Amino acid sequence: MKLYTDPGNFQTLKLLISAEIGKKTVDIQEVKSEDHVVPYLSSNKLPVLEVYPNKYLFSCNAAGRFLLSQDEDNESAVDQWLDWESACLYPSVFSYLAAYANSNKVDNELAQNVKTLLKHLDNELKGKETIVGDNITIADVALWSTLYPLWKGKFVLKGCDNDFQVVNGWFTSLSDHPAFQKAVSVIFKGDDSVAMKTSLTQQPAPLRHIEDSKKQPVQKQQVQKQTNKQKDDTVSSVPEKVIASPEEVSAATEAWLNGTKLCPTPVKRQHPILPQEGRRNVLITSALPYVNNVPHLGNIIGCVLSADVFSRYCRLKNYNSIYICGTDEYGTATETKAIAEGSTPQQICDKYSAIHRQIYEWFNIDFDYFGRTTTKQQTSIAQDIFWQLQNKGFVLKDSVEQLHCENCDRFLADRFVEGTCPLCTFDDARGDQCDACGKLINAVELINPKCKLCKNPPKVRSSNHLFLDLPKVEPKLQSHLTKVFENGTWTSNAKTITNSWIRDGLKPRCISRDLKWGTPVPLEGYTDKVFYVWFDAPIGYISITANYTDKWEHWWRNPDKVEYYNFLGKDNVPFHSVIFPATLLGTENKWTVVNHMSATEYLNYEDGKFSKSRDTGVFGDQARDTGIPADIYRFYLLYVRPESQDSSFSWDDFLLKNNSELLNNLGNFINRALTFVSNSFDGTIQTMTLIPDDYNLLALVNRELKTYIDNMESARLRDSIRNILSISRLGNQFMQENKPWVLVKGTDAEKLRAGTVVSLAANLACLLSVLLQPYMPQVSATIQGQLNAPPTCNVIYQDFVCHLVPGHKIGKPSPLFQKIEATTIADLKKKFAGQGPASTGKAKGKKASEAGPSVAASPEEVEKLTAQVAAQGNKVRELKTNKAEKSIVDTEVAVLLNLKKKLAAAQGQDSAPSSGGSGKKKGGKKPQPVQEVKQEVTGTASTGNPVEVERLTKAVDEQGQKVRELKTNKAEKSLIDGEVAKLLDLKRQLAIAQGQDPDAAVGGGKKKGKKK
Amino acid sequence: MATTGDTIQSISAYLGVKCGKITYDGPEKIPVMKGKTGTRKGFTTILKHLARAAEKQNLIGENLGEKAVVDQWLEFKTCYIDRCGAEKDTNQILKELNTYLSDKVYFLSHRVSLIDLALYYTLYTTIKELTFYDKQKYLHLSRWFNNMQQSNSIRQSSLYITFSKTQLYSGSAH
Repeated sequence: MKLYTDPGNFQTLKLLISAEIGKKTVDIQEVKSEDHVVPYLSSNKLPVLEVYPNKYLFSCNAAGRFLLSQDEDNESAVDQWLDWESACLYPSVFSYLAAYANSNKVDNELAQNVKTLLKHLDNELKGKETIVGDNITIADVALWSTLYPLWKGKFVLKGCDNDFQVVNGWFTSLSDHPAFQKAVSVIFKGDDSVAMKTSLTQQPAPLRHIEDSKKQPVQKQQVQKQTNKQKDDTVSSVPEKVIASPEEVSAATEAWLNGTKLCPTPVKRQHPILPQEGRRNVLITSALPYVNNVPHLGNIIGCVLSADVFSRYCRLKNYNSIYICGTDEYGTATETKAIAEGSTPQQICDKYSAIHRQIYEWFNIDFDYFGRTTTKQQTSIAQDIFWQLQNKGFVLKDSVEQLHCENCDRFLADRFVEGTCPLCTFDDARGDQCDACGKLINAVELINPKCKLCKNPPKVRSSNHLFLDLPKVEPKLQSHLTKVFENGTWTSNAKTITNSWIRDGLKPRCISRDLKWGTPVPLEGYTDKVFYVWFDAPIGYISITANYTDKWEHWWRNPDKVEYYNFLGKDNVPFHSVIFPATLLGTENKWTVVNHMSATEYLNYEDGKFSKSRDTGVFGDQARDTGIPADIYRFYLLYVRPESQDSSFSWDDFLLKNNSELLNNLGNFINRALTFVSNSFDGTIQTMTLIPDDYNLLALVNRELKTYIDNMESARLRDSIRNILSISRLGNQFMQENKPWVLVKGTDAEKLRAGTVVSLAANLACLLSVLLQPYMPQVSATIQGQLNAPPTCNVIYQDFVCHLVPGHKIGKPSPLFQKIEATTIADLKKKFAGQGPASTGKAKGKKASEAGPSVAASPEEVEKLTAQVAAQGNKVRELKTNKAEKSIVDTEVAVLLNLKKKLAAAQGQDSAPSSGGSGKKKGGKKPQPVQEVKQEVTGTASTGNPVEVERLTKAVDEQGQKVRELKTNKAEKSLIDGEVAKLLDLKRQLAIAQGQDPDAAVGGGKKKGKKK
Repeated sequence: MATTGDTIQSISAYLGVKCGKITYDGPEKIPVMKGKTGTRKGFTTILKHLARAAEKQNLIGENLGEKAVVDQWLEFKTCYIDRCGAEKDTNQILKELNTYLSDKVYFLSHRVSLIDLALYYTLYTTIKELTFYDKQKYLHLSRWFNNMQQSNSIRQSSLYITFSKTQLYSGSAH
């Protein structure tokens, strides 16, 4: 162990005495009083004990206690003395000593403080040899050491030996102890008051307690300072002047002088865009947004916006690119939404497709074509692909056990079943995929499945279905993936998800569904079914292209000449990297199959998730109403694009980014440069005579430009924004260094220099406008308008070239960005906070029980309704047994549900749980809805009946005991399940008897899991 | 910064033991707890007593070395963190803690100790008021804090503080 100390430090006594008594060897390292020892502390406080390399004890009391290694009889009493020593005595003694050492005289007030403390000690020590217990403890050592300079040496506190005789007795007796004597001789080698003085003056004074009154204003100041600091942040983060290498400078010089000739001219976009020989043909698709909802900012950045940035970049690079997207409209969700809104699925699609279109238009998403999946082409292409698969033998037939909800009278689509994930036991998994482990699951495998609509457990029924034989396609898929993983751009999450999916083994995947709203299956015997949306939806990319041009096969049947980029959220990866490619490869025909995949993680909203139902977060249509331009949203969303990790949309950060990066950095630079050209040079670009420093700037700009291109090529869209901002920072720095506002008032030569500086700055602004175009198209257009920039500049070339030549007239500059005020943000934050995090389970239960007594109707009413429910229930069963027409059954079921709701309301219960009678029993026999209801009525009748409650409580306890016993004895599962079902039932009855929501009582122990 | 009393209250709630009302003694405002087994004075004393009462000895360290570390940081809380007035000093302390935590999950070995609890409650408001920039600057401290607040029994009724997992600011940090 090493002990670092300066000479003459009285606190070191604590350690030396302890080491001596505790028989520990310490290796004393003498350092200077101002030396820092502990790497993580800024203070130079000594002594410090290094227990073993890099493990430090910087508290003398803690270190001393450690060295002393004593069994303390009363640890708490020792704690208390050490607390007092460190918080009261030591600071007080040190202040007295340091003042004495500095001024050579006693400060009476400080001396008085010490005396007050000594008085306390004097009282406490009466009749004791040592402070705690019968032996010397660290409390004695610590106190003695701190008091030592008051009793001995140059700075003694006169009269204390007399005034505090008890302390004096204790002090003197300890002074005779050899360990104490030895320590003193080591530290104070004779009477070394000089060393002690140095130590006292150079060691940091312990902090004193601050009065609360003093604290208050400090805190206020703190807040103000913070905002100032945020401003400083952008200014001070201007990079230090960097010098580029000579090669870089000469390349930059060459490009600046002659680059315009090499720089390609932009190719005009002409619809329909078709692949061309000799050009890079890029097919870009963004995951099709599902039609039944308004997209939120997370959906927007997740696919359409990201793909838009990339597509705009491709155009600036003169790639022959096409960006295809549309709304995904088939599926159960649309059907349900239609039922909810009382219209046909087609009407729903028309309505929401238009909403989507408007939102993307507002966000300036520049699709080459935005279509939809409910078209003739979709049917014909999907069916054609199916026939190709069928003919090559990649389609299997099998009967499937499928979940069927009797209550809703329908087969449940995967997304309409919820339950516990069989793989990771996450208890809020959807039927098709678990949000927690990301694995795809089969709805029937869910543990405790529930119908999403009515919460009843669905039953398994069998039905014949078609399967895509994934195991048979696997070799083709694997070889394609190996190739594209190597040559293409795949985000790591896309690769990981795909790999893990294949590693887990591919199984035949069902591609048909018992639904109506979808692409009909053309195969005889299955014509009443439709294709599963995830078989169907990716084919939408193809059919939407077919709606755009009848030469769609040039894009889609042309894998050798076309590169295909997918942009999507990570939840969609397996469908795009496994199922869709497998579908296309299985046809054994030429199809363009995904080469590159850019998958985003999730975007959170503030500290939670976006949620439509809770009104939390900003949704597409609401963004427009905030009055903040779309470009600002685009910029921020891309700045926080969840590329490698989940990220969050934070309004505070939004404000910060707008005000610091856009307003103070980018906007400031461009506006300053242009205003100068406009005011001092009549809006004309001057002859530019560059000096070496300027070429260095060009080289640094080129560095950023090259990284920008690299990032863009590998779809790291977030990183490229940093390059743009860095270029703008370089520009600001350049203006600041050259001060054209001074030069312009100077000699002729200086005026010429000013002309060069601002004209170069204007050219930089022109470059920025081009680089910014994928991110902020409107702002880019505004800058180019102000620059009166030639259309030929809209191309990204590897180097910075001069597009604004001397003599060029610029337009009228005006500020580009507006400051966002904190008050505005506060309002927006409030507006979009929604109802806060859900605490539904609890709240509902409470509400129900509160509402119970007051709303509950008369017993007669309840009885009447019960009878009606029973009658209606019989009617429905009869109809079902006689296989009546579905529509008739449906209406009768609706009547039944309505009655049940009324009944529940009359009983003062939450209507939702009791409308699903069969949900009450888990496992066991087939439930009898009507009896069930009756049971509840009797339950309700006995509400508040203490005898009944007591009986049930007892029964629950007994049953609980039984279950526990069975579990302990590892009884058969079926047996346990049966008993558990009984227990749950009893609990429900008890809850009803107590007037509580029965489902809340049973579900109480089960918490809704959080994502991830 | 949370008052010492509030911090003690929160920890006693975490430990599931009662601590009663905390009063303050003398010009140095030493916290005082009056209990059935007598009066205890001083932050470290009270916390360690509560941990022993809750029979969670491992919170105060399982051997002398660990105990010394716990003592030292609890003293640090009283003598440094509580006593720094200016923003500069607070920032200094955040910086120190951040550096200390750069290679650690918790303050003491690999489990939660009294130090983590004491500093979590003490620093809650300070951390809450940090800008995203500062949170990123004190990356390790933020990570530690975020880790701590995942436990409901630690966080209790206070709100989650948001930490961005994405690096928002280039340069400077690390």
